[in-house]
Amino acid sequence: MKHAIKATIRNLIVAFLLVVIFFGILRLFLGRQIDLNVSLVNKIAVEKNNKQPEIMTIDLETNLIQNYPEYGAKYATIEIPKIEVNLPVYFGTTLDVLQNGVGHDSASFFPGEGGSIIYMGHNAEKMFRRFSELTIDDIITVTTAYGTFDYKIYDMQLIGETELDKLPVQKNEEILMCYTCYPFNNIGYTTQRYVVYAKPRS
Amino acid sequence: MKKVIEIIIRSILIIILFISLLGFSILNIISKTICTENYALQKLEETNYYGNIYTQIKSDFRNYIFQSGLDESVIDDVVTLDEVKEDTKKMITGIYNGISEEIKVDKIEERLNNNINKSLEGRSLTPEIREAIQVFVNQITTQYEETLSKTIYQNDIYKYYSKIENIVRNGEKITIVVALISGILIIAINFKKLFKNIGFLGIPFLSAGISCKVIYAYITKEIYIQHFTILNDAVSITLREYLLGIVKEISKYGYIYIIIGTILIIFGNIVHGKKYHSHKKNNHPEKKMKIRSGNLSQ
Repeated sequence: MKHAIKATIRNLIVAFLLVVIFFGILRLFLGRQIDLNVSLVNKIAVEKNNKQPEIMTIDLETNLIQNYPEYGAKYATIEIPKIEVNLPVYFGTTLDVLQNGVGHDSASFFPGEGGSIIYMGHNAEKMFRRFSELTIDDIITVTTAYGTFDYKIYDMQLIGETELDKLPVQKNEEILMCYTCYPFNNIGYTTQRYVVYAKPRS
Repeated sequence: MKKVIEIIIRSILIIILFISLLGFSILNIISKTICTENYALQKLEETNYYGNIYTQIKSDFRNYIFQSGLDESVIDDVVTLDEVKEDTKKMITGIYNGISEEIKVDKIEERLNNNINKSLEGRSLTPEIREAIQVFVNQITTQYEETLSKTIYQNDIYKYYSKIENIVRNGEKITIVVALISGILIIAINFKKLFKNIGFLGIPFLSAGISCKVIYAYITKEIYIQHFTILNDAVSITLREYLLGIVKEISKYGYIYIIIGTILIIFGNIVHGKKYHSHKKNNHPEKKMKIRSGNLSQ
């Protein structure tokens, strides 16, 4: 029995040594290639960021915002009671964003910062289709984590899709500009935009 | 000298058997999974791929509806879950049979046109509007084809699949033959020590089993399969489960080889030990003396 145990232990050790030598040689000759291939394969691994986004805050003295939202993230809601609009506002203007709500042009400022704010939405029924019913003095409310901002409409304009000077981004005065495609019930691609301009109510 | 040669030959045969067992397990896993249509179809069912891709298709359609200016209802029921399932299965079968399957979209086009006509009833359609409608219909049908098939990748898969299948099937045969021959030679190298050799036969099995477990541990630790994201959510979820299923097979082979190897080592050494002990007992000098003296007294 002693003999059998000794032989068994010997065989087990040989088996383990064989594995160690095999992987040692593999690592020696192909280690770099393996590491490279693994890192290439891992490029398609996207770890979802489960971290809770920091809450946006604003310094009332300097009008500076802390914790800007990530691109594509929802950060506000827009309400236009006159036309029964109550939609989420996302930072960014991708197709996915516009499918789900209103997009915030990332080149413009945020409510409360004192500059131009540009929002865009489709002219779909549940979105901005009823913009033609808006008139001067109608109210648009934007609610964020750091405050609620009421804007009063003072102008509406029809502009060409390339007339970007009609959507000026400036930092001297807070102006909310919301636009959508025009004609509202057009089928297919449109080259005109219907813009609503609003200033802070207070 | 003879013993040294025996040890060297046995060691070489053990290494050959170890490598061929490892090779066979990897090739067999590929053969059972990647090269088997049923494995792919099973994973699609398990991960509710058809339901997820159906949701993705409807979401992709909505991207176009808002830009078109048409009512959202025109994309309702233009494609059903069963049609998505059928088209997907057709595509998978096409890959495994080396046939380039085309997805037929005429039913979708017909339903879409009917919905649009209903939605625009009573409205005069200018040539520009008709053109815009046709553009929209083409966008929808193209989007459906692209979401399901991603034609570029499908052609690449066709190209490589048959090559891989040939290599895998031939490789399996070669490795199993090499394993059998080397296994038989390990046992037959010295018939007098048959059971000891059976013990030695366990070494490559045990080594192959441990190696499979090491490979499994490395893949699960270093490759972030759980986070793979490609094309869309439906494909990502299914791809992850598809790959994890393959990796789990490596672990299964590890257990099988470890068990076989351990049994062979223990069994071979115990039986050899008993035989060795009884042989030693029979050939013990004192016993030989007793036998001789017994013969003399007779």
